[in-house]
Amino acid sequence: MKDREIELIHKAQKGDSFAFEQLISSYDRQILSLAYSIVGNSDDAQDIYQEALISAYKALPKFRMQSDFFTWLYRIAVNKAINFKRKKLKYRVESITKPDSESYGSDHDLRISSSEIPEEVTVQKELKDIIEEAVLLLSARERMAFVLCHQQGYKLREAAELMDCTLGTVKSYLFRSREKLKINLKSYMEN
Amino acid sequence: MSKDKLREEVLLYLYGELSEEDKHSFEEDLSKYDNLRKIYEAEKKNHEFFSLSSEKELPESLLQKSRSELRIRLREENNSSHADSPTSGGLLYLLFGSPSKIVVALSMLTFGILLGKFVSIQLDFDNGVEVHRLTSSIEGIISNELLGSQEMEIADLKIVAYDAESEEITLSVDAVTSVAIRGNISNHKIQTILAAALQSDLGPSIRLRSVDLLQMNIENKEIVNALIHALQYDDNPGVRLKAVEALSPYSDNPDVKEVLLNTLKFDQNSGVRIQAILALKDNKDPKVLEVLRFKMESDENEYIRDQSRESVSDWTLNKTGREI
Repeated sequence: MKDREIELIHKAQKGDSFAFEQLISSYDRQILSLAYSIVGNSDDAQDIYQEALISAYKALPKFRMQSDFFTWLYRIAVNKAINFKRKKLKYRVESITKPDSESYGSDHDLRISSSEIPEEVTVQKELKDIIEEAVLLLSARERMAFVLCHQQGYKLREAAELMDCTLGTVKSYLFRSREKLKINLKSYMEN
Repeated sequence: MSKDKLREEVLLYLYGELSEEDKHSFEEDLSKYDNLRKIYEAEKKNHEFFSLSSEKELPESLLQKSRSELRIRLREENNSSHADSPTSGGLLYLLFGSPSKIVVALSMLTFGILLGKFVSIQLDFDNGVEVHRLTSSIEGIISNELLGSQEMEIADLKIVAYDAESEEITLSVDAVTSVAIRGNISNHKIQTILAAALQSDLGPSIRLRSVDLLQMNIENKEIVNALIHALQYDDNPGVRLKAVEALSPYSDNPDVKEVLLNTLKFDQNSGVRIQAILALKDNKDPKVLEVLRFKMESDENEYIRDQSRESVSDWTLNKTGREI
């Protein structure tokens, strides 16, 4: 850990919120970005960002410098994002394929309307949006495993540490997320 | 090996999770076994397809907004933790026992102990302005003349540390004192303060008064920008109206012209739009003419339609010598 970072941690541990702001300024973009990828909208992403950083600020006096500060902070953010409950339903629910609600769990409230499927999706941007929406259909933990390993390039071992679970569990979340994405995006992939 | 096991192997390979040795062995198997190659091709295709989605792009404004909100939350958190904390809330009582002792102890403390803000008054007669300036540092001692003065208000107090053994205490205080400034309205410092007030959330009456005072003497771009800001963003129509009035003499300035045109096009308040059309009606810019032509047909306010029509007519007469 850099000396400057250690100094800021000490200050923030004593209740210096300005030091805390400086401390997190190199990392908070990544936290907000993760939240944004996980929930798919700015309001909820902001809520996660606030909750994670306020929790970190409160818990900082207990931080003993035995682990990397960013990993510690990011772990809090990952945890908040996984356990985040939307305050209100923001999206209309509609199934992309056949109704198969059992496999999605209760927190999936976004479906891509089959009526909105374009005949030929050639524009990469559209595909990107469609995949992002399909990612939102995954369970919170599957989504997190996918975002961390597939989009952010974390190794399974690192993702397991961040998600506070075993390597086998995170592997299973990741592989299951791929299977679900394959089902949900079948029509696009075939084209 | 089962199909599931093969697929797992393939995925671990695609995610770069295999050791060098396993990777090498996997690649050898890939060239040997058709069933493995088929699974690999299919999963590779999926992998590439999923990779079309990257992390969602984060709007910069969202980060800035989140940071501002976090700053407020952190302040609230500090305030509430100090108010709620039994060690801080009851510390004075724990230390000194009774309220009367607390008062005596506090008055003693104020003269001697370290405080979080250093406040001093300095007189600055630079440019004919008399400024009582407030300065602060991380740690310092409050000046005795301010201490006990009714002009100083303690906005926040934190007990930073208390050492029970040495009985030494460190407090952090946000001390606020009023600042008096006297000078000519044309003075740059005074104008800067008024411009800042205009862009603040101090209340519409203060912002209104600021525009009033600023328009008497618009001498620099900073003031023009403050007025433009007020015209674009102030939610009080009275302030916007005053801002249009103040900017009217500068309607030839491209920035001012642009904001006046936008006001005429989009401001919801007809009084503000009327002021804008009065500011622009003599401006012979084709962009102005275009907006006036639009407004003479579409504005819901009759006066604005009439004024627009009149201006368009004047403009075409002047330009061609005959009415079109």
